[in-house]
Amino acid sequence: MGDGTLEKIRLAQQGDAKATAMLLREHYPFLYKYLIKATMDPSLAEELAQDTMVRCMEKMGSYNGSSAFSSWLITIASRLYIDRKRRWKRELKWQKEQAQEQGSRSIRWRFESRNMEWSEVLDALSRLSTAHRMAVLLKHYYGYGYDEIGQMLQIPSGTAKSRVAAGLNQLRKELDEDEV
Amino acid sequence: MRFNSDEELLNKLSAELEILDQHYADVAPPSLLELEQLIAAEAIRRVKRQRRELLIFSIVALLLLSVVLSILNSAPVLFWGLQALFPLAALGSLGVARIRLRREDAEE
Repeated sequence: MGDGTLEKIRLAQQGDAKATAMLLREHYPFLYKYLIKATMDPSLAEELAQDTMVRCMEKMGSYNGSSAFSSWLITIASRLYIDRKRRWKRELKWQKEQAQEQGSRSIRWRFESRNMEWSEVLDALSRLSTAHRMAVLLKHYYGYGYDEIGQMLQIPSGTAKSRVAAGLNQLRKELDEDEV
Repeated sequence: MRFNSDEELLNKLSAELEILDQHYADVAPPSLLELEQLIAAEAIRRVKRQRRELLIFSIVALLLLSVVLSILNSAPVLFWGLQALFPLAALGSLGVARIRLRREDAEE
């Protein structure tokens, strides 16, 4: 973390609105891109990014610097997404499925509108359960350890490890099925 | 699409995710002014919420206190019976909530 970021965090913790705004603005693209990959739904990613920023403002005082600021944002965003998925469980199943499908269609459209082929691997990733997708993403794209993933998702590190393994197995299975 | 090893699959996955990132590289973050307005609105909302919560807490606390005192005065046996029952009920509901959460996670 650069000195500039540390200084902004310090000022934000003292209630400086301008420093908070600058800090959040700087990290917005990173946060949004993480949420795109975690949710596979751009509009949901945007909503969650906004919720994450609000939560971040509320909790700024509790950030202790033990992890990078971006990791702290990912933690807040992941927990908000998990909470939202739990709330959705109580709603109609078909509504959730439709929303998820629309999300990945929107990403696919973005690829195709730029004359790029939609990736089979990303398609398979979008079909994984949220828990498996987030675990695979945090481990193999962002490079976090199992202990860190466990802390972020509020699960034991053993569960994080088994989710990553199960996610990869599922991914492989989906891709093998596509082959057939 | 078949991969001979996990490493091959992970390399492909990382490459595709990077391409996905590039597709959203042009995302426009909210302007500083918008964010400052959001922060100001959020601060006002938080103060209002804290005040409302404090008010509700005080009213409920006063109500409970008056109920407890009146029960203690008129029916001491019932009072001590409830004292034993409430912690047990709280522990039981905590246990149920935990089991439900685990089951939901397992279903995921």
